[in-house]
Amino acid sequence: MCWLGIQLRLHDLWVTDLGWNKKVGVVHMFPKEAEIVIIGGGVLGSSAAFFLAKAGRDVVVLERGDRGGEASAGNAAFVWSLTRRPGIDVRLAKHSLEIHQQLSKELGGIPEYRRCGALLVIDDEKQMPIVEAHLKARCADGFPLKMLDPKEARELEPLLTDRLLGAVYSPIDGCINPIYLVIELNKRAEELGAKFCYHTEVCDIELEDNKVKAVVTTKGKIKTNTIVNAAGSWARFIGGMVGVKIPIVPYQMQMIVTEQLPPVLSHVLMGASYMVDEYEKEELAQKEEAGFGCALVASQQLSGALLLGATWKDAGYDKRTTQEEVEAIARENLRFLPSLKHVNVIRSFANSFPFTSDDLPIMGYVDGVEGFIMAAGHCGHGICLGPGSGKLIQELICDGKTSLPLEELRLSRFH
Amino acid sequence: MRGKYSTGLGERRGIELMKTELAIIGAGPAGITAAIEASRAGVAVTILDENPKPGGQIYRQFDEGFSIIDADMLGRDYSRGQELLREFGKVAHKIQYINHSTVWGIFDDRLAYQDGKKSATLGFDRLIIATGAYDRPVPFPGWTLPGVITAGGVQRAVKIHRILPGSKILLAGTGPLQLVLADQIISAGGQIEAILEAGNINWFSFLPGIWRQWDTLVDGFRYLRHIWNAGIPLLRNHIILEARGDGQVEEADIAEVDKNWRPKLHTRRTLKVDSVCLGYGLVPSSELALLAGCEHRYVRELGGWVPLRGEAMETSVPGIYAVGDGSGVAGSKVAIEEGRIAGTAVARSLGRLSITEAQDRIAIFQKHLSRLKHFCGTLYEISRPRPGLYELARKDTIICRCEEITLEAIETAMAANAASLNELKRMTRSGMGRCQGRICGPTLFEIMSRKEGSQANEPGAFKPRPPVKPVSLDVLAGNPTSTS
Repeated sequence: MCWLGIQLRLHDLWVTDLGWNKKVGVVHMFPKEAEIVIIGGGVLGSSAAFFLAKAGRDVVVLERGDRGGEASAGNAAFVWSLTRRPGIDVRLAKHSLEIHQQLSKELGGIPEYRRCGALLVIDDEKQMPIVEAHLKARCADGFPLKMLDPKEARELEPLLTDRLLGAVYSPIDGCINPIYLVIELNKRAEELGAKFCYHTEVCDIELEDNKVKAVVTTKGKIKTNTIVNAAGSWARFIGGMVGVKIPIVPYQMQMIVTEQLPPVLSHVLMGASYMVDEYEKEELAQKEEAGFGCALVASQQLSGALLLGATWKDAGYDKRTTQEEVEAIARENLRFLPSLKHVNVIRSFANSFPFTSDDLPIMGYVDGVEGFIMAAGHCGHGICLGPGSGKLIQELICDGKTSLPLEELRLSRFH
Repeated sequence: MRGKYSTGLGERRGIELMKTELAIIGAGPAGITAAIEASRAGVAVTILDENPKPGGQIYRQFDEGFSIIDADMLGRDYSRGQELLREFGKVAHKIQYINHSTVWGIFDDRLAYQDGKKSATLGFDRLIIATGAYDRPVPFPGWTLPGVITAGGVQRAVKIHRILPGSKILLAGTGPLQLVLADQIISAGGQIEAILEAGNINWFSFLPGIWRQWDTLVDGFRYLRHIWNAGIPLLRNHIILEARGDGQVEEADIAEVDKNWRPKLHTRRTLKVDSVCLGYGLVPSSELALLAGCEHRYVRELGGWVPLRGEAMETSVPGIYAVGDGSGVAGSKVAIEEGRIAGTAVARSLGRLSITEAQDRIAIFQKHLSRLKHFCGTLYEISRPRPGLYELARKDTIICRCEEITLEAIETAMAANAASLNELKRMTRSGMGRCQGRICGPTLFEIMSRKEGSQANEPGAFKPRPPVKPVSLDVLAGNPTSTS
């Protein structure tokens, strides 16, 4: 028994400390220490890792699943500033749009980023004053938004219904292939020296005098002085490990994908109901009846598949789609794009998106825990804001200051 | 995007949901017998079937307008099917049979299906999944050329539509189903250039395995006699390596293989043919059981995923049963017994049979089953796909047909340490198309798990996502149950 005990312990050592890969028989050294540990291998973590590795920093990324398993790989694929509110919200979006453009060149166009233009489609009188006020405020900020009448909108996007009231056009918005973006960022960051540990879950964070000292994972412990919490919807659990309350909650969003078609949509489309916050009591009651919200989101990927959405609800971390929501998405899209009725839907997906109460991400150092940086809570805009946020995190770590001040995004705003 | 209007998981209010005690997906031999047993015991049964009439692939019935004047051509399976369908006919008035319906999702205790031009919902207390199997896709250079057809497709064309696949036909594959198909093509007047049997099958070695399966034995000899009489070369240890042609198959390269089905290249030669029928066995259709959350295991002999099941065909999800070829390709006779067991078990679980009644009945079916299982074991062993079959593709051979992903792209992703089918899907798009990986999934599993030094010895299954079969937007939009 004693002998067996030793054997088992030795085996444990192999598996945990060295990350021994029993299938290949090759020993990958699990890192014992790192300058920076990023928790989460989604678009936030991958972007931060890419820019940090590029700046010559020693980075380890810990990912619980495999490449692109969560919301970073399954979302609306929008790189979108149209509905962002004046202030830090739209400044972040604008900054990230620029980073996207640079990154696209750097990654050889692989993520399929396109500034194809966006339309916010209005189909209800009640939406008009709110949209117009938004347009006015944003144009005053110098954004090239333009109100189109139904005829102009249909000239840009001929499949749109003639029952539109109008649309807001933004020439700088567009879409991307989120899966390719994340996978390519991972690959490039690895080439630049970042280490990605997949299937590695964080169990604890060790502090000393309120300073980050080490990350304890299912594969071993890594000594570090700097942690970036890029765990998206799960960021609050990482916060719990350092005794910090992080007000990020998961919201589920569902979408559907169609078969591949020749080019039929040249812009990305969103229903104005997304940005109209104040619902009439009656409408709100109807939404409660259904148990989920639903509005138009539509774009065509380069593959030819249409990405259509979306419904959203409070469903924790449930990644299953439901019949009601898949059907509601089909109805909502046909309401705006009736001629797509014979197009086949080939799958649906759902993911948990990290939300905060003010619809802004939580970024920057956290008071009271030295070396702990937040980069999560992008409220369904992670793909759009991820690369920009990753760049800002790199600047924060390398230069101590950022090209876009993060003061308004710090966790302390909630406390 | 914005979450503030959400109010938690929704319950539809005030809308009548169609409900049944037992829903059965698929009206092949397994589904039919399950319905017969459950219905006899007084269970309210609803069967959903993609076809116009019950019978499944094997007992496929003819569309209106066809009259059967040469039932003999259709084989003995057909007449066995007639018997079963007569039995079904006796209880049919008590059963709700929804034809032309495609189940596209299972959501807890309800399933979503396409019924004609609309999507519909059916609530159930118990569910029996009897979805059958499909032809194993085998990628080799030229396999996407028009003229390369799977055996099931050819069989359907010959039996139902009376269409031959070509005028110079090559059969390539393994197992006795090839003989059945050859017999049907010969009877329909088709010209077969050669039959390639990949295995080293000595037909008499079957004898111990199929001992007491007299009718099978008689069938087998009858098929062989027809083939010999027609002077068709039956080449053992031979596989097809490549199909070539300008826009359609014009010739095919074949070669002798070793016991691992790896070709002996000096034996390579070319046959002039205009169509190739691939009969490398069947893969269970497990997407609905996977979607329902049933635990599965990969069976190498089948080259596919099958649900874990108990004695009464129950899966790991309470209330869901799985029977027939969709749970382990073993043919119609096994499917019939499994269906009877599941139907009886459901009746028992709903209190329509006493424990002893149910146990007695199930014991009889189990006895039949154990006799058949011996035979199946032999069949499995001879037709088990060998590694050589998955080494035929070249770098530029398409593996995923929907997304046109080549072997080269897949090998690149594997070199970048893709660890599972789902990760491979995200990295290459293979399995992202309209078949959801039914075609490329089995091949990719074998390629990934067999690669030396691969990190992916257990690459898992593609995650099925509803709709598991394509459904048009207007059909989805037209569900009266979810429109209020």
